[in-house]
Amino acid sequence: MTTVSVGVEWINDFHGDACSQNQLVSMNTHAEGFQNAMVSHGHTKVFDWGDDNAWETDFRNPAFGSGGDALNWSDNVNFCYFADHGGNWSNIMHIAFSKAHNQCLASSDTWKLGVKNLKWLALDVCDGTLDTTAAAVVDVWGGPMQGLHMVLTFVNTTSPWSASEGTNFGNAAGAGQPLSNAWLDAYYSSSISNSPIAISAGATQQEAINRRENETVGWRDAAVTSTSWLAWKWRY
Amino acid sequence: MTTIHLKAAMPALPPTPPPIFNMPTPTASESAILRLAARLGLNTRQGGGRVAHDDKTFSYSHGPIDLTLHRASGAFRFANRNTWQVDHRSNVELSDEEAVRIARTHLESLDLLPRESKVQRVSRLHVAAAGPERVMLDHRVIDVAVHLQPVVRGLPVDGPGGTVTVYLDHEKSVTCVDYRSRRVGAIHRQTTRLLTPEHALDSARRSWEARGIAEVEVNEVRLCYYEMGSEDRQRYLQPAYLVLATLIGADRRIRTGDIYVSPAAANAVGRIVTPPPRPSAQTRRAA
Repeated sequence: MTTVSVGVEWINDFHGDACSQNQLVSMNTHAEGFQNAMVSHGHTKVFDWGDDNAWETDFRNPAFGSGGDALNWSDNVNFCYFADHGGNWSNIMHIAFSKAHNQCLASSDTWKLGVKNLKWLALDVCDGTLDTTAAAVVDVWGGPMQGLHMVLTFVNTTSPWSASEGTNFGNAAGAGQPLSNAWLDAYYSSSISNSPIAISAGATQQEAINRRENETVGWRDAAVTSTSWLAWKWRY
Repeated sequence: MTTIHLKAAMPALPPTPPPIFNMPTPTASESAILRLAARLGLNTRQGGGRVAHDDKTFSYSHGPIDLTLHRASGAFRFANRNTWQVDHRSNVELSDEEAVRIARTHLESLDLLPRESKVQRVSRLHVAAAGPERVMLDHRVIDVAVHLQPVVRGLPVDGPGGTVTVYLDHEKSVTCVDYRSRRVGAIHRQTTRLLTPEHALDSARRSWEARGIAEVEVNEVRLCYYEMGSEDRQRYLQPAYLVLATLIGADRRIRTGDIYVSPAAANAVGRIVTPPPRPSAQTRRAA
């Protein structure tokens, strides 16, 4: 069995300061539920940073200065799960932090996801894409995905609906089910308008599609040599 | 003080308050899953199948078929792993109406169609790709899912549970049945009085104020019976209001969805939702 290393970050509590955002409620259960489920399938926990312990520098690549430390954190694990607020404007993905270390918002134009160890990024946040057009997907994710196999996120806003969603995803992913289907299955709800999306990268169209359809955590070492193509899958 | 922008009409109340029902403890065991498998048409006596279990589920696998039964709720999923959510390079061209007809007929043939139900939604699983030209290619629909919502005493069942979903592929074949609907028992107690939707909205407002939320758009208020997810134990089926909202961030660029669940019966029993577990203790991280 291929084991993968897992790191999670989540934020529920913000403060009335420059980093202020609305309080959230279930982000810990999503992120830690995912991590615990992965560990129960034999995978390895590396970090679990919550609230003020989750930092923007954990995602910033050092090439962009300002203390960028991604190579020691988000990009030092194979699977990173981030649960919090997100926003998407000017074709740049933003994720919010409760403490400015060193910024309140991380911006995807300071990310080089996958240059070291990161293979899969679950962004359990709103606005991972604003829609499902090629422009919305490629313009936001084509640049930051630099070796990352897959990003798993949401189209537009999402509502946490059940505390067990992260656990369900972790159980399916950890057991070796195709990651795209595991994500869509765990987070789609017919009752509310959650629209999960899985976006995979490849040097060719065929590779990107093959990853989208079949990639499991067992594909850890099947490197993405370039992000020339993206293939995505969503339920709506 | 939370500013609320109300974008929704309040739901109409039924002439008679809907009662609170018991939900019997589900039977989840090795023999129960084998009985279920047989009912779904699997020949469990022939051999070749395998039963497994963990602390949350029992499962039965036979060839490409996976059947999973949840201990807490009795919810089950019957899926063909060779076809469910799998891209066979085809495009499903089923209309909503035809998909609903096929789904209802299939459930009826298995005696799984809820006595009364409504179509909650028909969803589609889409795929697409794009290369350096940034043009969407190969956009197809690879399955259609019909999500039925049981109706009890005229009130739809809603929540993370309370749905019966049938997935169909391009050959109109059923690839999965996801049955997340608990058995409803006898009446536990009559509802003395239904609280108003405005009461639910006030309760939501207090909850948002306690969380320091400054601005909210309320997009929908539903009156329903609330059913929890498959992993939760639930003893009563109770009327509830769902307040579906969008929380607006201070700079208005970061928004997030929020669902507030409030009991609708004046004499509701216990908690209607389980509080989320506490976060793991975090020690201050060294810079």
